[in-house]
This record gives sequence, structure tokens and C-alpha cells, in this order.
Amino acid sequence: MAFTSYSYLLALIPVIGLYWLAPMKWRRWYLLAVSLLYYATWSAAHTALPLVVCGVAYVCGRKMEQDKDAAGRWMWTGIAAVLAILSVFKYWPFVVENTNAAMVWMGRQGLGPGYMLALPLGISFYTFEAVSYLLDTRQGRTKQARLSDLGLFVLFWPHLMAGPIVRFRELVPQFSKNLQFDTGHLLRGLDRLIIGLAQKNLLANNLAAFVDEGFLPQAAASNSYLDNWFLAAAFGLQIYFDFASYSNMAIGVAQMMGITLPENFRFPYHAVSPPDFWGRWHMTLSRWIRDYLFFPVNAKYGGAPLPLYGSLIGIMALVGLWHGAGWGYVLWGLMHGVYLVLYRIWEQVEEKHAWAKAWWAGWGWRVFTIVAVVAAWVPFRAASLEQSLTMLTAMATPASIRVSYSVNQYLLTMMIACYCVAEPWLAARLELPAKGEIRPQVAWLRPAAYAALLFIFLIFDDRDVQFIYFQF
Amino acid sequence: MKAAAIAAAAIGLTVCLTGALLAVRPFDKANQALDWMFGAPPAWTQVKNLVRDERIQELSRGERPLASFRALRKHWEGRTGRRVCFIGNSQMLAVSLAASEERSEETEPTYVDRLALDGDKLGLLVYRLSAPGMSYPEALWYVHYLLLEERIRPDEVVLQINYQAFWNAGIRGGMLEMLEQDRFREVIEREAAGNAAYAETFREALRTWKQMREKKPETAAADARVGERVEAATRKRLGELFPRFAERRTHKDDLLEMLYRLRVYVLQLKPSTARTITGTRWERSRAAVEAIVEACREKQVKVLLFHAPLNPKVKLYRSERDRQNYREFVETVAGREGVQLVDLEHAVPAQYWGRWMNGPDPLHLGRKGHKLMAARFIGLLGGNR
Repeated sequence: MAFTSYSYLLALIPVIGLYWLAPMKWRRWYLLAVSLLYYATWSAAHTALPLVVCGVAYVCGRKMEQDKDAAGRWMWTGIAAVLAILSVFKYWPFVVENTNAAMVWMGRQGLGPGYMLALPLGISFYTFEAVSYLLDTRQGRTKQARLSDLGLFVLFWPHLMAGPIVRFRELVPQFSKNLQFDTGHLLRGLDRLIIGLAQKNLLANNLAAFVDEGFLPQAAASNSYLDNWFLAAAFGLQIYFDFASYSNMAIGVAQMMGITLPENFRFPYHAVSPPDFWGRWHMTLSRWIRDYLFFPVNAKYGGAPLPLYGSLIGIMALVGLWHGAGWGYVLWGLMHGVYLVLYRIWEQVEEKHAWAKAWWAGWGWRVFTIVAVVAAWVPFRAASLEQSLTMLTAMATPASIRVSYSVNQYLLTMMIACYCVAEPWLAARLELPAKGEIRPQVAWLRPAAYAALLFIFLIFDDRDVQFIYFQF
Repeated sequence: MKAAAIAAAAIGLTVCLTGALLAVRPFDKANQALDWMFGAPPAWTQVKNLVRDERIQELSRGERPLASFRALRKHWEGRTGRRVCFIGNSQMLAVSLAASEERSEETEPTYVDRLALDGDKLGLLVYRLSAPGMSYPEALWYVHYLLLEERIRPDEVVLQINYQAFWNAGIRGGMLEMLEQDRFREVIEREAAGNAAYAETFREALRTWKQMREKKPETAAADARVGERVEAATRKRLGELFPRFAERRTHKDDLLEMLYRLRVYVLQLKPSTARTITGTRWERSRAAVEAIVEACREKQVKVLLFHAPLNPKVKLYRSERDRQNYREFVETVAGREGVQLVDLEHAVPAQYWGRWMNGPDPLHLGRKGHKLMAARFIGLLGGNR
């Protein structure tokens, strides 16, 4: 069941109602059961997989507590097992694909389709959460969990499929709070849910047609300079609103049950520099990478420039690979790695020279960031590296500015880009009231705003476009 | 208890307001207001009382063509006469009255309708397969369907060649039901697996059709995910319970119309704005036109290509080079395949064209314009060919 499906939305009413009616001690079991059922509606065959991941994390966490001397070994065993599961399901097709290419090159027959494996939904997310649990337990930031807690940490359905990537210590204690039903929880949750629904159907899905058409390999070859920039921007907006809408819905549904999930986006296209972009884009992945990969790796080198630059590029390539087994994702990661390195170098220049602190430098970085981020979406979306290079080359040579697609597509992209520009201003105006204090003047406006957004959601529900991040 | 009541009231009010929005068609009202503000011609100039006859027209405008083909089979069965099928866009199915033309209570025929209604006298069985914004891959789709079956195979296909139509791509959702027929689906699958420029259009159509089938409870595959089957059943039930829910997509059309009007009125970006057609769309359309001619030749079906009339008040080609490229392509295809090509680009003078929004209609003819076209086709198709 997709978050935007009617069956899911209708099911939320009894599911959340029963949650609040259930006695406190049953709630966690109830949520666990609902989460498993929810996952089964996607793929009953794969339901065992998150349970196995939980089991591995539980056993290794327990061993770490019992045998302090061997804690490190158990942590690495757990991480290796969890990453092995992720690798088998996620990267096996990549191995098969490349093996096939090599075999064909050697004049031999490639491996058949029987060698391929279906990708279980959410695997990249829940395996990273399990790894974070093991690392936190080892470092004493989290105490050994009960199996039910660990199960709920991994399986809690609002974040199961595509995050936000939560930490054990920020999520699980919330299930033990004796929460009473509060209108504030419900309405704040509804705010996020309904905004997410409208964002997905109105903004993300409507860009999909343009992006799908323009990124076809045959199309890409004949796209003009202008076409390619618009297509890259359209995809950047599509993926942002697609993922942000999913995150809004996830956060909203959890909020309706009094559970707070971490934020995932903070107006990323308003970033003033490449590092700032990563502080605003997929924030829960960024902090995971920062805390569990970047800091430990760089702690060894004490901030020496070359290892730092190397690690930035290497880690960003891994972030690309996390998104999917494909060279396009790696190139996307590498491009971001290079942007981050360039900014680090600039920071050193800034420290030494006063002119580098001028206002134009700030604006220069702002412009560079948006242009560079948009360009990097090309390999992320293109079907092959060859296609990426064709498009990027055309984007670098403004030889032709003709338009190859309906003018409506360009106008739509511009309209959505304008909305994106105005988003922080709008959010500030519509800022939600403090917890439990629904201002009367806002309260009566809510149903009207909900109705308008639901209306938009309803009338645009004809394109069956899956959330992009479900494939990662 | 108070909190629960407030929440229930908020949700209840939301549901009522959403229902009200679905009932009042707010964007349609906005469209009317925009037309009034920007001085559009009265709505009656877009003629609604057109001839409707299932024996001579595909009535659904591409939205449910199978029912039309059933009627065509029935009509053509056992009848003698040369079967002529006209394929083209809304120029063939709409009448947009010119400034000098009055409203009429009588049903209005288009030029193809006139030919079809007079068909017996000419020894012709005329049928019109047209839809608004029809793309050439769609025309090819139709041609493949017609050629498959003896009972509805025409002797001659009259294909409208219109510069604007080269801009269109894709197969509309309504035409996907034709894939239910196994033999036709095999043809489309063969095309989709090929290298022609339009192959991706057909692949996309096949993908969409498969998704649509999975959403229908009666055709959902047994191995479909539980969630998909539940969702299909939920949608069906909601549609049965709330007719407004089932009609919700008309609001989307209204909204898109509104945006389109804003584009035309405010940004002055009109369908008649001159343009260069390039890229994939151009390639797909070209390949589809070539494939139509080739497919007809293989089945010994005669083809008549004609350059559709253009409104002299409107400049569609952005440059003379665009015009030359386009015409060169059409002439090359006609010459190579040995098919007749008729130039009707200037067949209708400016005063016989309709008005649309706040300017001349770039595509649709008035009453007299259709009469002129009918006269030209009577000359072209008349019994002595």
C-alpha cells in the first residue's frame, strides 16, 4: 500500500483510532503487528528480511553486553551480516549486469534472468538503522534493547520504506511514554500528511511526464542545451518533492500517534554552499554518513588536507552507491564529493584572504551550488553513463537553445521552481502553532486548507507514479 | 473527550468542504470568468450539436474506441462500396463558427460527415477516426488495428498531415483498451520491441496498460501484491458509493484548462505561436507517418496524404526552414512510396476559420470552411477514381 493510496488513507482512521484507544502496554505490540501487516501488503515474501536483520542486531547487541571483551568482534560480526544481506539483495544485480557485460565482451553467453533477485523495499533504510544500533550499542550511546523495541525501531511503518533514517535512542523511548490523545498531535500530523499528499500528486507526479520523456536514451541524444538544463532542474524538483512529500507523510502519520520522527529536508535548493546543501538534503542520511563514516574515518588523520579530500570524495561515491547499484549513482556521488572538496579549499583561501569574504563570493557559492547540484542530477537519472555524458556535454555547450518538448512542460518546471523559491517564506507564514495550542484563528482555517489540498490530491491521482526513493 | 470532539469536527468539516469542492467545479467557474475578462467569443461558436452517427464516426474521440469498431463492423458487413477511412485530429471533428456565421439549431456536420452522409451517391463507405490532438503514433496504432481484420479493413486511408500534429506524442489512455485483443497486442509488442523512433511510445503504452489492468479488481493478476488488489477494490467501491469521486478527474481537466487559458491570455503563448518542431517528438511522428504508409502498402490499402488547411491569419512555422523541412519530409515519403499527396494548406480562406479564446482559431474551421473542404474531397474521392 502506497502512502498515497486510498486504501492506506482510509485504513489510517481505524489504525490510529485503535492506537489511541489501546492500553499503553499493548501499543508497542499493536504497532509492531500493524507494521508487519503493512510490509506484507508490499511483499509478503520479503517480510522475513527485516525480521532477520532485527534478529541479527539483537543477538549481536546482546553478546556485546554480555561479553565486553569481545564486544568489538560482535559489533563487526553484526555489521558484516547486515551489510551482507544488503549487498546480496541490492548489489547482486549490479554484479550480474557487469559479469554479463564482461562475458559478452569475451564472446560468451551472459547469465540468464534467473540470476536476478527482486529488491526488497526499504532494505537500504532498515539495514542502515540496524548498523547504527550496533555502533551506538558498542559506543555506549544505546543500551541493549528488548527484541520488541528493536523490532519496532526497524519496522515502525511510517519510516520503514524510505526513512527518515532514525536512531534507536531518538525513536524507541517515545514508545514508552504514556501519551494521552491530544488534538494537537492529530492536527499537526494531519498538516504534514495532507501537505505531503498534495506535494506528491501535484508537484512531483506532474513533473514525471516531462522527465520520463526527456531522459529517454533516444531523446537525450537530440536534446538541446536548454532542454537538458530544464530536464535536470525538473528532475531535481521532482525528486525533491517526491521524497519530501514521502517524508512529510511519514512524519505526519507518526505525529498523529504522538511519535516525532526527525526532519529530512530543510529547503535544500536554498543552500548557500555544497556542505550546506548536505545539511538540508536527506538530512537523516547525511548525519548517518557524518557520524558513522566521515568522523571515524577522519579522526585517524587529524584533518590533514589530502586524506580529508580523498575521504570526502570516497565517502560521497559510497553515498551514491547506497542509492543504487549503478555507475550513474557513483558519478553523482563523485561530483558531490568534488563540490565538497572545492568548498573546503575555498574555506582555506577564505581564512587567509579578506577579499574572499566579500559578498560576491557568498553569492557566487550560492549560484555554484544550485547549478552544480542540478547538473549532478543528470547521472543520477540518466539510463547510462554514456547518456549522462552526452547530456552533460550538451549542458556545457550552449550551442542550441531550441525547445523540443511542449512549452507547458517548461512553464510547469518554472512554476514549480518559483514555488520552491517561495517555500521558506510560505512555511514561515504558515508556521504551526506550539504543541497542544491550536490557535482558534488557525483552527477554523485548517479544514478549509485541508479540503483545498485534498481536492488537489484527489483530482491529480491519475498517474500511478511510485515514490522514487522506494527503489533505493 | 473534548479533544476527540474537536478532532472529529475538524475531520468532518474537511470531508464536507472537499465534497463541496467536488460538487461545484470551481475551476470551470474560473474558466468562465477568464473568458469573460479576456473577451473570448461566446461559447456557442464552439458547436456542440454536431452530427453523431456511429456508422460513420468513431464517437468516443479515442476514449473508448472498441465500441465504435464493433459498430463499424456491423455497418460495413455485407455493404458494397469503396471503404475510405479518414484519420486526423480535431480539425476533422469540430466546428468553430467564424465571425460571420450564426448559431444554428440544426446539427452541424464536419467535412468528413458530409462526405460520409453522401457516401452512397459516390459509391463510398466513409468513416472518420479522429481525436483531439491525435498524434501520429496514435494514427499508426489505429491503422494497425484496421489492417488486422478483413471486416473493417479500408480500401483507402486518407491521412491528414498537419504540422501541429507532429508536436504530439504518446498514446492516450482510452486507446489502450484495444490491447485487450491478442492479435493487435502482438503487433504492438512487435513494434515496441523494434528500433523505430516511436517504439518507446508503444513500450510506454504497453507498460501503462499493464498497470491499469493490475488496478482493476477483475483483471488484477493473481500474483499482484495484496496492497494493489486491496487498492483496486477500494477505488472501485469509492466510485460506486460517491459518483463525485468517480468524476474527480473532470476537475483536473478544468484546472489544466484554466492554466492553459492563463498561458494564452496572460503570457500570450498561444497554440498558434510559431514554433520549430525538433527532437524526439519530430522523429517519432516522422517514423509513424512512414510506418503508416508502409503498413498500408503491405496490405494493398491505398493512401491519400493531404496537407491540412492552415489558417492564413496564423503563422505556425517559426522559420521558412521549418516549413521547408516539414514539406520536404512529406513529399519525400509520398514520392518514395508512390502515394497521392494533395496540398490543401490554402484551401480555406481566412474568413471561414473559427475564433478561439481571444484570437483566430489555428485549427478549426467554420461551417463554410467545412463545406469547402467537403467539396474538395468529393472531387478527390468521387466515384471515377
